[in-house]
Order: sequence, then C-alpha cells, then structure tokens
Amino acid sequence: MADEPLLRVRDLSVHFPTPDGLVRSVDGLSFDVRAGEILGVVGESGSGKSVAGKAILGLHEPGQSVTTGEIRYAGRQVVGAAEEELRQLRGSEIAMIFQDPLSSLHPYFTIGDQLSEAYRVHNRVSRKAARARAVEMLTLVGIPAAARSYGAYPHEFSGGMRQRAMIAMALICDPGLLIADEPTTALDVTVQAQILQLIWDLSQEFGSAVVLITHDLGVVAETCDRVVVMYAGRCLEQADVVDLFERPMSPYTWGLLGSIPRIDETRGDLAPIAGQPPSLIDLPPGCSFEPRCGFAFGSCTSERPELSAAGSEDHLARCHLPVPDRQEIWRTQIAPAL
Amino acid sequence: MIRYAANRVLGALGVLLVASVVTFSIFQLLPRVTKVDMAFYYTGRNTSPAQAAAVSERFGFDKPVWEQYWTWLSGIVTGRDLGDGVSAVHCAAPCLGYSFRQNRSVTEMLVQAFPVTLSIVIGAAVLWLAGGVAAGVIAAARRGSWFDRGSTVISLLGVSIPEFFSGMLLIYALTAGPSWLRWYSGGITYVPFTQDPVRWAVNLLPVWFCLAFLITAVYTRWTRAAMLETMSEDFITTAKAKGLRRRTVVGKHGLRAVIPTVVTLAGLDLGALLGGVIIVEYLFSFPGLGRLAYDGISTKDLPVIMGTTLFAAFLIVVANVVVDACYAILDPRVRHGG
Ligand SMILES: Nc1ncnc2c1ncn2[C@@H]1O[C@H](COP(=O)(O)OP(=O)(O)O)[C@@H](O)[C@H]1O
Ligand SMILES: [Mg+2]
Repeated sequence: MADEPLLRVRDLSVHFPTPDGLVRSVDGLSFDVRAGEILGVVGESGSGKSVAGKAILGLHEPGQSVTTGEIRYAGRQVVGAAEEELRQLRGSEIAMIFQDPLSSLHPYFTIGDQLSEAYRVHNRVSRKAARARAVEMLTLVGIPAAARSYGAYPHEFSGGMRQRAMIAMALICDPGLLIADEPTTALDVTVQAQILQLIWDLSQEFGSAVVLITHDLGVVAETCDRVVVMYAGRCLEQADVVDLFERPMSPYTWGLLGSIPRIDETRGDLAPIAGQPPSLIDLPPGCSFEPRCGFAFGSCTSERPELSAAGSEDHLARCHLPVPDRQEIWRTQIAPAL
Repeated sequence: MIRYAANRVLGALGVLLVASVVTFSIFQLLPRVTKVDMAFYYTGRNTSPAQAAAVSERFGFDKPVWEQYWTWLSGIVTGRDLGDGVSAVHCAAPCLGYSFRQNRSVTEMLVQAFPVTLSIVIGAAVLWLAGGVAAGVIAAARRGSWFDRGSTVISLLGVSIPEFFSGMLLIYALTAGPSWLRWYSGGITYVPFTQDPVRWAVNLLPVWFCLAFLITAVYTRWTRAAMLETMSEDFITTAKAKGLRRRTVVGKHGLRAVIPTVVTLAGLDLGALLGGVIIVEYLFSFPGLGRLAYDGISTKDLPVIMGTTLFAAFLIVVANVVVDACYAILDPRVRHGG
C-alpha cells in the first residue's frame, strides 16, 4: 500500500506498573484507519479497547504508564510526542467521546460553554462566533431549540441528548478522526440506534474517520467498514466487516458471534464464551485465548501465534490452527449452529 | 425555590429555639443541681442570704422555670425591664440578658465584641482560603513533587502544633524577640477599623497568621485530596481530550468541581469561629466574643455566658443557611431541585 493511512498503529503497547505487577492492558496492537473509514474495535470488557483508544490521543499519564510502539496520525508520531504537540492534536484532529455522557460532561458548566470552549481552544474566534458555531453544532446533532439548550446544564438533558451534545462537542473542530468509546452502552436501548445512526451520518458529512469501540458485534455489523477483534490486549483477528461475519477465522470471534442475541432467536439460549479472560499481569505464554478455546492443541499453550493472513491478504488472524482447518470448522461446525 | 428558602429559614428558627431552650436549661438548672443560689451568679460571692432572697424575688428566680424561660425569650424580641419599679433597668430589644456585675446589657457587650472577632476571623479566612486552596491544588497537580512533599510536612506541623504554643512563640518573637524580629515592640493591641484602618490591619496581621496557620494546613490537605479525586473523574478526561491546556484542565475544570465543597467547609468553619476564637483572643488579649465568653465563665457571670452561647448558636445556624444558599448557587443540580 503506497498511500499512508490516516492512522497507523504498529506494535502498540500500553503497560501500567502497579503494586501487583505490570498490567499489560495493550500488548503489540497493530491496525490502520483510512480517511473516512469506520473501524470497529470489539472485544469483551477488559480487553484493552478503552486503553488503546485513549493512547491514540496520548491521554495516558507518562508517570503512571509506559506506552511504546507507533501511533502515526497523518504522518505525525503520537507516542512520545511533546505534551503541547499532543494538545494541539486533541480535539482539533482527533476527538473522542465516551461511554457515559453524564459523567463525561462537567456538571457545573452549561452545555454551550463546554462546546464553545472546545471550539475556542483551537480557533482564534470571538465568544460570539464560538457561540454561533456551538448552536450550529447542537442543531446539527438534532438537539431541539439549540439556542435555548445552549444554556442548559448536562443534568437537564436526557441520556441520549447528552451523548448528542458530546458528539457535537467532539466534531466542533471538524476532526479527521473520531474515537467513540462504547458511545451507546450507557443509553436506553431505544436511543442506541439513533446515536449510532447520528455518528454514521455525521462521519459521512464531515468526512471523519471513526474508531468505534464496542463490545457488541451487532453494532459492528451495522456500522463498520473494518473490524479489529481484541482479546487480553491483543488483536486476535482483523478483517473487512463482510469478511469477518462470513468467514471468521479465529475461535474467539466464533465465540463472540455465538453470544450475539438474534432477532430470529428460536433456541433462546445465549451462549457467552465459557471462562474468564486471563489476568493481564500473568498472560499465558502461548495464545492468550488458549485456556478458553475449544480447539486448542499442543503448540497453543507454549507458543504465541503471530497475526497472519487467513484467507485473504487483509484478513488477519492470530491462531495456530491451519487456515483450511479453520475454514472447515467454521463451515461445518460453527456456522450451522449459529 | 422560594418555598425551599422559606423552609430553610423556618428550620433555622426551630433550631435556634431548641438552642435557646438548651442554653436556658443548662444555665438555669445548673445552680439547682449545685445547690448554689441563682442570685450568687448575678451578684457575686459576698452576698448575704437575705440579700440573695431579695435579688431572687427581684429577678423572678422564685417563679416557675417555664415562666422564667418565657420572660427571657420574649425579652430577646421585645426587650424587658429588670427589677422592681424602684431601681429597674431597661434592657432594650434584643435583650440577651443584663449583667449586674458589670451593669451593662449583654447585647451591648456582644455588639462591642463582635467586630473584634469578625476582624480576626475574616482576615484569617482570606489567608487560609487563599493559602490552603492554592497549596492544595498545586500539591495535587504536582503529586509527588517537592512541593507536594513539602506542603505535606508543613501541613502536618500545622495541625500538630497547638495554637497556644505557636501563638505564644509568635507574640514573644514579635514583641520581645531579637531586634530584627521585634516589629511590634509597642505590643499588639486591637485598634478598631473605623479608628485607624492601617493600624487595624497591621496589628491584626500576627493574629490572622496565628489562627490561619492551623486551618490552612487542614484546607491544604483537604483540597489536595478533593482535587486528586476530581482529577480522576470522567469530565477531566473529556477536558484533556478537548485539547485544553493543563492549566485550564486543573485550574478551571478541576477547581470548579471542588469549589462548592470548599465553600461549604469554609462557611461552617466561619460560623463556628465567629462565635469567638477563645484561645487566640485570649493569647493576644483581643476583646472579642471568645474573650467575653472566657471572662464570663471565669467570673461566673451567668447572663454573659448565656448571651454568648446563644449568639454563637445563632451564628452557626446563620452559617448553615448561608452555606445552603451558596451551594444552591454553586451547584446547578441543587439549584434546579434535582
Ligand atoms: N490506569 C490503569 N492502571 C492499571 N490498570 C489499568 C489502568 N487502566 C486500565 N487498566 C486495566 O487495563 C485493562 C483494560 O481496560 P480497558 O481498556 O478499560 O478495557 P475495555 O476493553 O473494557 O475498554 C483492564 O483490565 C483494566 O483493569
Ligand atoms: Mg472500555
């Protein structure tokens, strides 16, 4: 690939030294995000998705964490960059929204002030101009009576409205990349789809790429172009979304697919993957999913599998099972049971 | 909102009524328990039984307790005449009692002493709020730095050195210490603000420092802890992710979140201290409420003790109401009755 992607993550590791030992929250993670693309990052809770997302903004305190590897945004290296350089990137080039909009908005400042502030920190404009921009953004995300809502406090909004305001704040400087960390998890089921739709619409309108972090493969299927499947700080599989759902090549992804509730559910039994994720302090020496994998064999316990092509050039998976065997297992055992 | 305020004021009045009953009972019943005639507390030790009986009758100590209470309480509102028609003294409303030892109404004494205590407490509050909050914020922002460690040590000293010890050292150093420190060789006396504002401030300065030292230490520790807690909140992550400068993140978003609680703490402390700062006033011989209460106790001047106690209770109740009002102003969630 000759053209450089918008975001290039290579061998990213984020480790936290704690009294109990080194927590390897992200360990050797690599992926690309192309301009305008929506990349899904899925994995069970605790697999390092949020830590990876914050690392892209350089949000981990250097004193309390060790970040290594490469995060290159539009040619600029983020890992190890000076604080001032990171600051100018945050909000203006890369923006982020979070799981719980209520705790993520400051309770004592009005929605409008928080939006204006985000705009003014990166643009030399008058208060009035910033206010106009904020109202424009609030209107754009579908907040009724935006001019009046400008003076409202976060607690006066509903959960969905708050997340809309967060999205408006994130996009106010027209960033090239939006990181959305489980943006619908804390919301009512009824508004989840609306918020996802909004993120999708706006990413099209603004031409922003999106990293959509979620533990819900259903969300990925509806929204994303590519998918990274994370487990215990590592990527176990990444592929185009159609490829991933039609030919998943990692036993962990099979497990995740098995735990999606389906509308046409006839059996009614949801099968979450048995067992618990490993401790991030004591990772198994071999494949990190081996203790829970139903297809593990000899080398899985001792040797860490590499991320390698599985089926096509840009479909990567980390698994010792030979590719044809996996294709066979998927076709004959897993897919029919789903 | 108005209903809420009315409720608060009514509640405050209720608390005051209870305080008045308690004050009255303690000081009226005590003589009965100790079997010392009430009259002695009013006139002094060298009173003959015949004189005591005359005094008792004159002031109505022979009447039922509830009637005495009512006379005392209504006197606060309407004023009262003490004694028989011949040598009666009029005690104008609000009459908090009359000291026959000093031939002055207690209200008059309170009015004279209060500005002294107010001068001490307000100046000290400025010092401890500015010093404690600033030091706490900086210590939290630079956790583990030399500043943080240093302020921890100084704070520990502050809270562990008793006021009378540091106060005595201060007075000694400033009035009789080495010549380069003997800034107050003329002594430290209270000069009313209205008489000479400069001398007022100059002479109060050591008193302010003496009182503020300990409290600053408490506020530093407390602000540091509150800031550290705040800095791990989600809205702080949002503020960083917007690309705000660290100064803004800490000094605006962080500090704003702890201000309502600082104000609460300060309000309650002010309410308690305004009733009299006994040790400091005694050390510096400043004729404030603390000194008045102390003298009242040591001379067993009952009306003075009751008056200062009730006034102190009144100030605490007022402080509570003011703090509630401030909280409603500072926290929009309370303001909107959320
Ligand atoms: N500051 C930190 N110090 C120590 N461990 C952390 C820290 N932040 C996250 N972790 C650990 O990293 C792991 C991954 O967390 P996270 O990225 O939040 O998971 P998720 O995939 O659910 O978003 C968790 O086990 C968490 O305990
Ligand atoms: Mg998370």
